[in-house]
Amino acid sequence: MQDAKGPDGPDGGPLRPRSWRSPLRGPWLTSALGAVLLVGLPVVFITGLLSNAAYNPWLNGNVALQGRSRSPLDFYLFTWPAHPAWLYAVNEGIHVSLGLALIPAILVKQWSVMPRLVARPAVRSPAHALERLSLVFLVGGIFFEVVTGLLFEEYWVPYHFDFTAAHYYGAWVFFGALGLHTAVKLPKLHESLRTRGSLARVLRTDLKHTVPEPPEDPALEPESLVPSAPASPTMSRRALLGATAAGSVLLGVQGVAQDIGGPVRSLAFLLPRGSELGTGPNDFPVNATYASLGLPDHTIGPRWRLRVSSADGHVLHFSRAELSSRFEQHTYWLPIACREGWSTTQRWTGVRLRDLAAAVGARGTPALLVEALDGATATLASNQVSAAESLLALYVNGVPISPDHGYPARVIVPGEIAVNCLKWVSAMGFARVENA
Amino acid sequence: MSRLRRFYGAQPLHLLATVVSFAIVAAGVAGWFQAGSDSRGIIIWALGSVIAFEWILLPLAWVLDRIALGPRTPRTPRTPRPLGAPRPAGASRTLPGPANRAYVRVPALLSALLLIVFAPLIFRAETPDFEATSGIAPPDYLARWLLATAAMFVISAVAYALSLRRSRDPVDQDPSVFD
Repeated sequence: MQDAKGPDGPDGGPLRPRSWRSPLRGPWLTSALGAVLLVGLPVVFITGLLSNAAYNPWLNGNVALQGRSRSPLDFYLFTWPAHPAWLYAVNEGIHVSLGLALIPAILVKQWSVMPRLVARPAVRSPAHALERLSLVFLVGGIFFEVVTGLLFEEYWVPYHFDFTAAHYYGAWVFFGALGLHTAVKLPKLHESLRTRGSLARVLRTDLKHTVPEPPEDPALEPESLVPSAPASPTMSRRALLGATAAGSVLLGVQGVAQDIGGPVRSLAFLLPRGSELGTGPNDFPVNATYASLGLPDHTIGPRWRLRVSSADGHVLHFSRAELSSRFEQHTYWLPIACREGWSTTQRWTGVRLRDLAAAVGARGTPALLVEALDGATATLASNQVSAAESLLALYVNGVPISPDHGYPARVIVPGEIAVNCLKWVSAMGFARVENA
Repeated sequence: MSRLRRFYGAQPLHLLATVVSFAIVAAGVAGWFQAGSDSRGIIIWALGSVIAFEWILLPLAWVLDRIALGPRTPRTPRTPRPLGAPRPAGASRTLPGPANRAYVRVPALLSALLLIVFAPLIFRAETPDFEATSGIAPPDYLARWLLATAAMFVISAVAYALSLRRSRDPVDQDPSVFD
């Protein structure tokens, strides 16, 4: 070690490499945790990109990212499919649940490599300097992603930026850095796991038999994670890994429970979507209350009319009673799946979107611009409009949908993100061409 | 080529990977600015993440080590044992006390994890969106966290009791890992 100045003992504060004495630290432990993250984090990244694609951001009015199409990172390779119906619920459930479950592994991995940060000399070569600079983005990136994601889940907004854009581009910052980190460290990870021990042996080893990892050759590894002055272990490696795994289960279960919902929802006891609202037909989780819109009650009263138009200029108006009596009613079990990673599957009844298109004389397979009473807009792609299960829902579980769930009528589309399934619909415009 | 390698300190392929990596990072940072919604705020939060890491997590990890490992008198031989060499006689690492502290530490760590991850809800941060969005008043997350903590310590205590009973039966121990 380059710790020439100080006394020989493990004196001094955290800036002195010798003062990091945990006998559990070493290449095997770091590599084992690194391997978990190397598998898990790309899954979180890809489901995150897919979550963005689910907006169909290339369609007019679906602004997932502000300033879209200006960054080379805003690319969408396909139109979001309308089947299977659970597509978005499962994708987002994986993104949030796995993201939560990886937090303990991220923290312990970070703990395991802390002495590296204070290793001397700080910079050994230009290559090493670039690696260290890249770590700023790696570590800063993952903490930014975890913190913004958690705050979004917990409805605490102590910032003024748009969460989606910040979280999306932050993911790219992190993944750019992770690419280099993986390229540089993968051989070491592989070698450490192959030669320094096996998980099975670590899990069989109790505290009494826990010893530091064997030291490394300083010529090959000038920044070894094996402490130069290890203390006696006070905890076994399996206890540390067990605590990490238990933490992952504790957090992951929260995410899975809010996504599956129903009887297991209450397992998400520390997340806002951990409780059903009651036992009535409309008592499933709400993603924005009618009261929060600040609209007067008569807006959704008997004088409400739905305006339906085609690209040819045909316009029809329907009252709720007319929608209910003039059109064939269809019933499907479909999930509302929020980008917060929770979902709830209910039995919806209403008019098929494609029947409304036919009624107004829209030809071919049109896209659909939906407008809501609160000014929200969303465009559905033609595959979503033509899907049999895509409904303008008037009823849920056999009763009229409640104001909080979008009375007089709401859109529900299989496989789609909930923010594109507007509530309190006021107008529907079928568009002839789709820029797909 | 070998001069470049000597000066740079790695293979040319390393330089290529670095360039690609930083290009993606730069595009991500540029995206923050192009997003056009308080990009200054995003940058401050991103820098805050780095600073929080260096100035909070690093000392925290060190302090946790100190708490876990106790006073800093080293009990192990100063010179590390070479790979594969037998353990020197008398270098027993058995704890002085009978209790394995993991049974206290693991539930304590898990409780701390839940506290950190769900701090905004547990400490009742201003969340005006909570009720408007979900239609329900926030439940008492502090009580839920305390209950979860209590439950974890109880489970750990039961596990400890079971391990004490088991350790009365003599069992052959496996050899040390990394020996």
